[in-house]
Amino acid sequence: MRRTGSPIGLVVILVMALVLAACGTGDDAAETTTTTAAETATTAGDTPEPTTTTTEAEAEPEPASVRVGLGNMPPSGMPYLGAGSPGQYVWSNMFDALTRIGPDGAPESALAESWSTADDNLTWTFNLRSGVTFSNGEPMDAAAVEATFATVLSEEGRATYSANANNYGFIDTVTAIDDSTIEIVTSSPNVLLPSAISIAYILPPAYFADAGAEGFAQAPIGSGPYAVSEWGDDEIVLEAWAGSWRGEPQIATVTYLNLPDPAARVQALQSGQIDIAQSPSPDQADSLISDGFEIYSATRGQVLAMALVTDQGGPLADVRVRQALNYAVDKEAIREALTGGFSPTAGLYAPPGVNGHDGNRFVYPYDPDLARELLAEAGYADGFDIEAEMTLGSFPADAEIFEAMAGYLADVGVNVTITQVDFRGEWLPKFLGTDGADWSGNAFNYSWGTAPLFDAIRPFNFYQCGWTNAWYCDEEAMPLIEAVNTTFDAGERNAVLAQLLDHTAENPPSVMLTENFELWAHTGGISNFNVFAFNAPFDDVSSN
Amino acid sequence: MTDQLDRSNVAPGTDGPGATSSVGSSFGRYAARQLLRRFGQLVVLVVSISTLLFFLLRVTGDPALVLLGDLSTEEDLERVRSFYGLDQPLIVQYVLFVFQAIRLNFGRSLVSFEDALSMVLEKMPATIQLALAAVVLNLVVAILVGGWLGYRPERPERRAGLFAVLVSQGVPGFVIGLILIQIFAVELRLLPSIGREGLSSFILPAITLASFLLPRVIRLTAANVDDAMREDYVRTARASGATSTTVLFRHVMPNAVVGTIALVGVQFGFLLSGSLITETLFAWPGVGLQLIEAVRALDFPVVQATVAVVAVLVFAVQALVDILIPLADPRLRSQRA
Repeated sequence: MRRTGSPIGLVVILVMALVLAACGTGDDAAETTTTTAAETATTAGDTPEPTTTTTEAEAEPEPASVRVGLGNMPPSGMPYLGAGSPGQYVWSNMFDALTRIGPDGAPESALAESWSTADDNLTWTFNLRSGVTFSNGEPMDAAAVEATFATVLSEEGRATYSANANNYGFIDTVTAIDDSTIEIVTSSPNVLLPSAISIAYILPPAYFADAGAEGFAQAPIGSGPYAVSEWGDDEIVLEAWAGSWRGEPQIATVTYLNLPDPAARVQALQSGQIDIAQSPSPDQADSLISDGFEIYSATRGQVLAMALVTDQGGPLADVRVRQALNYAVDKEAIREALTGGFSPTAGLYAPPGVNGHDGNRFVYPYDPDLARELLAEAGYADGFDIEAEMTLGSFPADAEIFEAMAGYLADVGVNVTITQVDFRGEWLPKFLGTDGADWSGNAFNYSWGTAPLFDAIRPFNFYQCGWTNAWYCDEEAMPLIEAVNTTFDAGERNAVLAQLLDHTAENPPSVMLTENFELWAHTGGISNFNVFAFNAPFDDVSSN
Repeated sequence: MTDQLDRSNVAPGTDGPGATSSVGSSFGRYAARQLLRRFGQLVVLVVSISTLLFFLLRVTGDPALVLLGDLSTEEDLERVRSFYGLDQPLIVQYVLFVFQAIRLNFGRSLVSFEDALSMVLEKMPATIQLALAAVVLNLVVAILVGGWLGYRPERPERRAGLFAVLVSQGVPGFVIGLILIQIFAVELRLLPSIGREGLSSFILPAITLASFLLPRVIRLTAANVDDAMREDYVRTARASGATSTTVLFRHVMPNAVVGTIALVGVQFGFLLSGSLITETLFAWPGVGLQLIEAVRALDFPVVQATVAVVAVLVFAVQALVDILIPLADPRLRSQRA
C-alpha cells in the first residue's frame, strides 16, 4: 500500500529502454526518415498518384525514378568480378564494351564502330567511336582500351578476374595503334571474339590507376548513360548522365535493392515500395497481371536438357534410342503446365535471341507410339533404366520438369532414377573431370547454354569428342564443329552452323526440354523494359 | 493447464529478494573470474568452430571451380588455385588460416575482393540494432503478458492465453514475417517491408525477430510468476495487507524477471540465428543476409569472419548476463563468491 509507485517505475524503465534502443538504431535512421517519405510518395506503386509537389498544369513531367528489386546484387562495382546475371543487369547501364550482343544474338557495334580480321584469322582491328568520354571527363580512346585489357589479361588479372576474362582468355595482346584504332591478336583463330568481348567493359585508365581495383569497386565510373551515385552491397543508386554517347535516358534515378526472398520481393512490388521485381514465381504471374502489373519474360539463351552419357556404350549409344526419348516427352505440355507458358520455346537447340536460331528447324513432336517403335527396333522393347545425376533448383521449376520428363519416359518403359547432386561439390568436378571425377550414372542435367556468347556453337564445345571429360562423341559432327569455329565469313559460317544444328536434331545427344527464361514483373507505368543477353539497359525505359 | 507454463527453469527464485548484501570487492573478484572463465571458453569455442568450418567448407566444393565455371581448363584452375593459395596441402592452408585469423586477418572475399572482416563489421550495427530491438520487445512483452498470465493462471481467459502462446511457439518466424508484410505493407501500406530507413522500418523486422523467442520467454515468465505466487513471502505480504499490485510488482516480478533476463541472454545466439531469416525476408542489411549470400557463393573468408564475429558477440552477451544476474539476485552472488 505504501509503494504502489514501484510497478509503474518498472514499466517506465522498460519503456525507456525500448525508446533508447530504438534511438540507438542510429543517427542515419533519424536522418533518412524524411527521404523515405518523399521516396514513397514518388514511387508509390501501380497507381501513379501525383506527388505532393506536382501541379495539374504539368508542362514538364517530374524526372522519374525507378526502384528495382533484385534477387542477388552484382558481386562488385568492378565489372570484371563476374559475368552474366546479376552483374550485367546493372553494369550494362554504367559501362560499355567494344561490342554488345544484339537482340538476335549477333554482336553489335558499341564503343567500336566496326572491326575486321586479317588473313591470318588471328589479328583483329577495331575502329573506335570518336568523341566518347567517361562520366568523369576522361576520353574513351584506344589507350583506355589497351590499359583495361592490360589489367585484366595480366597474370594476376587472369586469376582475379577469371569469371569474366576466362571467356576471352585466348587473347594474346591488345595494342593501341592510334587514338581510335585497336589491334587484338589471339593465340588461336576464334571467330567469336567480338561476342566474347561484349562483357569486357572499358574502364577510365587514369581514374582506375588512381583509385585501384578496390577503390574503383566502391565508386565505379564508366561511359554508359548512368553514373553511380551510391554503390553498396544492398543498395545501388544510379543517376542519369546526359553526356553519354548513348544519349540521355528518361529515368533520372534507378535504384537497385537487394531483395533475396522471392515472396518478399513480390510483396514489395505489390506494396509500391519497388517498381520492378526480378524473378517473381511463375505461380504468382496471374494474380500480378490481374492486379495491373506486367510480366516480362526474357530468354537466357539456354534450353533445359538431360545430357545422355554415350561413351560407355549401352542403349543410349544407339541414336534410335536417343530419338525415341525425345519423341516420348510432351515438351509442349510441360511448357504450358510447368512454366506457366512463359518458356518461349520447347525442344529447340538454338532458341530465339541466339545466333543460329531458325524457327523452322525440326523439333521432336510428342509421339509415344513412334518412341516405342524405335525402342523395339533398337532391341529395347522392354525398356531399360537410366540413372540421372541432377542439380535441382537452378532454374524455375526444373525439379518438376525433370520429374515430368521421367514420367513420360516411364510410359515408354524407360525408368529414370534422379539422384540430386551438389553443383559445386559433385556436378562441376564430374563435368570437368577434375582429379579423375566422372559421371557414375548414364545421364545428367546440362543446359544447352549459349551465354555469354549467345551463339549456338557454344554448347558444342562441350558436347563433342574433344572435350576434356567427353561423355558424348559424334565423329560426324566434328568437322562441322571445326568448320563453324574456323570460318570467318559470317554468311558461310552461319550456313555451316545450320548444317550442324540440323545434323544434331537428327542425332540428338540429349533429351531437349523447355527453354530457360527469366521473369520480371513491373508496374503498368513502366514501358520499354527489356532484358537480353543479361543486359537490362534503361536507355529507352520510361515511366508515367 | 499449468503444463503450458515453461518450467525448464533458468530462474533462481525460492526466496524473496531479501538479503541486501553490499556489492563490494568480492563481487568485483567474482566478475573478473567469471569474465576470465568465459574468455577461456570463448577461445576454445572460436578455435573449434573455425577448425570445423574450415574443413567442412572445403568439403563442399572447390572455390576455384566455382569461380571459373564450366569453361575451366586445368591451366585456369592451377592459376586460380595458386593465386588463392588453394594449391597448398589442406593442412598447410589450415595453419596459414589460423595464423592469419589470430591477427584478425580472414582474407579477402572471393566474390568482391573486399576485406572479409571489414565487410562483416560494417554489417554488424544493423544486426545488433535489430537484435537489441527484438530483445527489448521480448522483455517488455514477456513481462507484461507473462506477468498477467502467470498471476492467476487458473482463470479461463489466461488459460486460453497460455494455450495461444503455446500454439504460437509452433509457428515458424518467416510465416509470421510474411503475414505481417501482407497486412501492414501490402494491404494497409502503413509500414515499409524492405530496407533500413527510418524508425518505421524497424517495426516489422523487430516483431518478426522477437517472435522467434517470444512464446518461450512469455511461458517462462508466466511460470516463474506462478511459482513465486505460491511462496511464503508472498503469503506473508498478502497477510500483512499488501494490494495485488504491490504483491505482483514488489515481490513477485523482481524474482520472475531475473529468469526472463537469463533466458533471453542464454538464447541470444538462437535469436541471432533468427536474424538469418528475418534479414533475408526484410532485405535488412545485416550480417545474416550477408552470411546467406556468402554461403551460397562459397565465399570462405566471409563465412569464417562472420562466424568468428558472431561467436564473440554471443559470448559477450552471455558474459554480460552472467555478471548482471548476480547483481540482480544477491543469492547467486553469495553462492558463488
